[in-house]
Amino acid sequence: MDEAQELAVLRLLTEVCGTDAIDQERDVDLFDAGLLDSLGFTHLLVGLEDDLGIRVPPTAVERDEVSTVNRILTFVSERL
Amino acid sequence: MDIIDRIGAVAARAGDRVAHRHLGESLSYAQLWSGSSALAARIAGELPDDGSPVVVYGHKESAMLVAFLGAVRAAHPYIPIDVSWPADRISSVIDESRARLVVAVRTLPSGVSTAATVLDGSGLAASTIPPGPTRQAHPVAPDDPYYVIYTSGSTGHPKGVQITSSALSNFVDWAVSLAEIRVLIPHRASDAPHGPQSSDGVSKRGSATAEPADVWLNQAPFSFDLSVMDLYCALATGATLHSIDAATVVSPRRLHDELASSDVSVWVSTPSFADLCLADPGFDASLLPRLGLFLFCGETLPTATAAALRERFPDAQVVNTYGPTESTVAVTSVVIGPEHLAAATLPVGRAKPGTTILIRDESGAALPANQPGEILIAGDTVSVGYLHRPDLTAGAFTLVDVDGVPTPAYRTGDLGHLDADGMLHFGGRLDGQIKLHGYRIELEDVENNLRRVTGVQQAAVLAVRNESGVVTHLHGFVQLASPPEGGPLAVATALKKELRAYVPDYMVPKLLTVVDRIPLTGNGKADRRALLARDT
Repeated sequence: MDEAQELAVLRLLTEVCGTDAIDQERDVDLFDAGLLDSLGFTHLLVGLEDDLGIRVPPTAVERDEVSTVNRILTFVSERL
Repeated sequence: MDIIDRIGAVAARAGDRVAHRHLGESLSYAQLWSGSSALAARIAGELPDDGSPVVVYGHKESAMLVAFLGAVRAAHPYIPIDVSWPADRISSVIDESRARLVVAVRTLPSGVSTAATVLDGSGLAASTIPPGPTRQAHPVAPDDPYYVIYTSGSTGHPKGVQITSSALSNFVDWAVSLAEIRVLIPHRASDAPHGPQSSDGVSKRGSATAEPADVWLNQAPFSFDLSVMDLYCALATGATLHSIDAATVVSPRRLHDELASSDVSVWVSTPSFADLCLADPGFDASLLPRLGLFLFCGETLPTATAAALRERFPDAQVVNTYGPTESTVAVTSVVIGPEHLAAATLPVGRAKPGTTILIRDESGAALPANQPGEILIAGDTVSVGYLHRPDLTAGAFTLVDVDGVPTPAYRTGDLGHLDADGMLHFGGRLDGQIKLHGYRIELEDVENNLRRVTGVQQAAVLAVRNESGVVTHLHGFVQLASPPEGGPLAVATALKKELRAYVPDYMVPKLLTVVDRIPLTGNGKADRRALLARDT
């Protein structure tokens, strides 16, 4: 993943979570933190498709795979 | 209709029909009836015949239905409490409702302290009632409360809305008729006849000669009165209630599979839940081929949601309804057609028979058509008031003259107007109460509970809205006694964790920001306007 792609993911997460604090604390569980819920999660997937061309149906991913910023970055880099 | 008699009639005539399904568990009408008979006798043996409420604690288990029916068949209203509630709120509702008995379908959290007797209800669906005293029971009378549902109150304490057996019956009579609108759809004309009810009160659906019984979707927890619509419409017509539990909703894959195997024919949910399902491209008529009707309540139905559902489910009707808990789930309805989809906001419908909608100004004077004012609901489904809170009841309930007859009425605190055709249009709230994903929340309730969190000196909570004015999340601001240690995310997460001990998850603000000082207005209240400016 290049820098521009990482920035795109972080921008998307900031939008979905509603705060840029996620950038600084990348191992906080976003579901535990109440920043990501089922609806936010589906918005995230839609955004990944729109911004990065990664198509992941919501039924093909479990939330543990995408529960922190670092996990989401790994998840995305594996699919680029 | 008398709901208890109806359920008894189904149990007698078609006892092996399925009343409830939940995660592979299935409850027949015969099991529901015999289990609730035994529980009613046990409750009558346990409690004096004083109409005191019985708390029923659990989630979507079939035993919940047995417990509800067992309580009302012993002339005690029930208070449904969902597992999503924190221990503190459970204790305070048991205490304030003066309940003497708790039927625990799930084990109560360890933090719950109560003097009430706790009865293990986990085996109720299998008719295993723990041994104890029993006595002949009689069912709840028409004018007595059938259930009490607690909603957010601005003081930080929830309020118990009492709904009588007759109010529930009046509501269900009408709600069941909404399901019959499918008869009018031309493209379904070739189907076997849908309703009307046969004389024994059991819908023709499900009899040997007609198509299978309806399956009603239950999405809302039983502690949320939206669930009353699916629960009692299903039971009163001998249909099946299909419950989706909270753990399934958080996994899109499990939700998809669960819906695929549900055979749901009538959908009841909040619009937010439908939006969640619509994110799955596979959510359409091929997934739910029997689905003929969507019934929405609990929050504003966005035009885009209705339009998307009509596209994905071309054979299904989309019905918008409106009503507060205080007037039994819903009192208006409208079938959404192409003519409504052109407008920015959808109407909420016309009043049901037995209900009159009045629009009043601040002085209480009636307003003419198209003039916005406070919505008053008068009629046969209005609550008899808040349990043990005559002070709050006096402030919200009144009698109004309807065609010369003094009629019970509820001041909703909602803004709206009636158009020239008697169609009601909803226009938001008069106070700090908001709706988030269908849940009614008083912002002050969240603020008062935030102040209980360790180290919090002052708190203010904002409802953040999108371009369409729909509340998307809460943003809380807190002033702490000493500077926090750790990053803002970790600090906010710790504060939220503690707040979850006091309020249900849906009341925990998504964003929590620590500020040096909460700005105050001239009269010493938190300056929400200044905080809002900070938020954007």
